[in-house]
Amino acid sequence: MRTLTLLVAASALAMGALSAMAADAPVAKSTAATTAPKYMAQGGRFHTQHVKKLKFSCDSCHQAGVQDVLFLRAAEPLPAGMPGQVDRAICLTCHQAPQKPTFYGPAK
Amino acid sequence: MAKFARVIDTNRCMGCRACVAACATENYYTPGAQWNAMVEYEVGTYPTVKKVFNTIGCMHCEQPACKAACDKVGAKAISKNEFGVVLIDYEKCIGCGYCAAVCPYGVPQYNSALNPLYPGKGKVAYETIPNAMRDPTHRKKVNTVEKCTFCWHKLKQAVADGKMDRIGKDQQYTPTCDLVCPVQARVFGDVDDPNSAVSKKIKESGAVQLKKNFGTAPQVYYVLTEGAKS
Repeated sequence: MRTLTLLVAASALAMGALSAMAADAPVAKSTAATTAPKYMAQGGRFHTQHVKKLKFSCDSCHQAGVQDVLFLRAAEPLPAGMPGQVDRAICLTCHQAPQKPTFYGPAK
Repeated sequence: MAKFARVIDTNRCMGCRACVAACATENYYTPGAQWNAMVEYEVGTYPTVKKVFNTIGCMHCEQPACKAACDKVGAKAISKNEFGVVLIDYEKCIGCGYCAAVCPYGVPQYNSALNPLYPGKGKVAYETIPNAMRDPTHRKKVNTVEKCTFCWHKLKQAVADGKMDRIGKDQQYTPTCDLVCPVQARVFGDVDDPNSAVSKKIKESGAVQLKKNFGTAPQVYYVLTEGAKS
C-alpha cells in the first residue's frame, strides 16, 4: 500500500513539475524560481533515512498527506498548480538541541 | 575580527527587484537556482491591505542548519568562515539536498541543469566567461546546491586589499544587491563594529531575525512592516 502511495505521489510530483516548467504555466507572485524541483527524491538519501531506516510514515512529515512536498523560501507563496509545502517546524521535533543529530540550536 | 551582517528594511522596500537582477548578473545566475528572490505577499483585511516585499537570500546563520546536515551526511561541503560567511564547495557537494530540506528559510537551491538564460538565443555576456576565469563561488556545477555568498568574491578582495573599512561603501567591496537598492532599504557591514552603519541600523530600527524558533541565529535582519511574517 505504501509503495502504491509513493508511486502515486511520485507521478503527481512529476506532473506538477512538468506543468510548472511549461512556458505558458501560470506565474506565482514571486520571482523565486519555481521551475527547479524543490522536493527530495523518493529514492534519495533523505527518504532512505526517514522512511526505510527509521520507518516513518509519509504523514509524519507530510502533514497533508502527500500534498505537502515542497521546500520553499520563507513566506514564498505556492506556485500555481503545485502541491503544498512541508513545514520545517516538524524537523525541530527530532533535530533541535539537545537532540542528536542536531541541526537547530535552542529556540530563542 | 569582522562579522558581516545585513539589514533589510521592508518599510522602505518597494519591490523593484533591482537587488534580484543585480545578484543574478553578478553571480552568474542560471534559471532554477536563484540566490536572491523577491517574495511578496499581502497583509491586512480589505480595505486596509498592503503589500509586503521581502527579499530572501542566505541568512549566513551563526549556527547554520545546512552545515550541520551536510556534515552529518559526510559531504562537509558547507563551511562558515572567520567572517561569518557560509559557503558551499561545489567540488564537495554530492547534491543530496539535505541542506535545502533543513534550511528554515528555503535558501539553498538545487541546480539540476545549467540552463542558459535565453534558451536558443545565444549566451549573455556572463555565460561566455569560462569557469577557469570565474571565482570558485561562480563555477556552477550540475547537481549541486548553490546559494547567496554575501558576494564573498568582493569581501575577500576587501580583506586582501586591506580595505575592510570600505565594505558597505565602495562598489568593488560591497555585495551588489546592497549597492543597487534605490531606496536604501539594504545596509551591509560589520556587525561587530558598534559604529558601523549596519550596527546602528539594527539598534535604531529594532530589526529582527526571522524564524528565531529554529535557533540558527541568522545574520540578516529585517525591519518588518506591520503585519509582515517573522
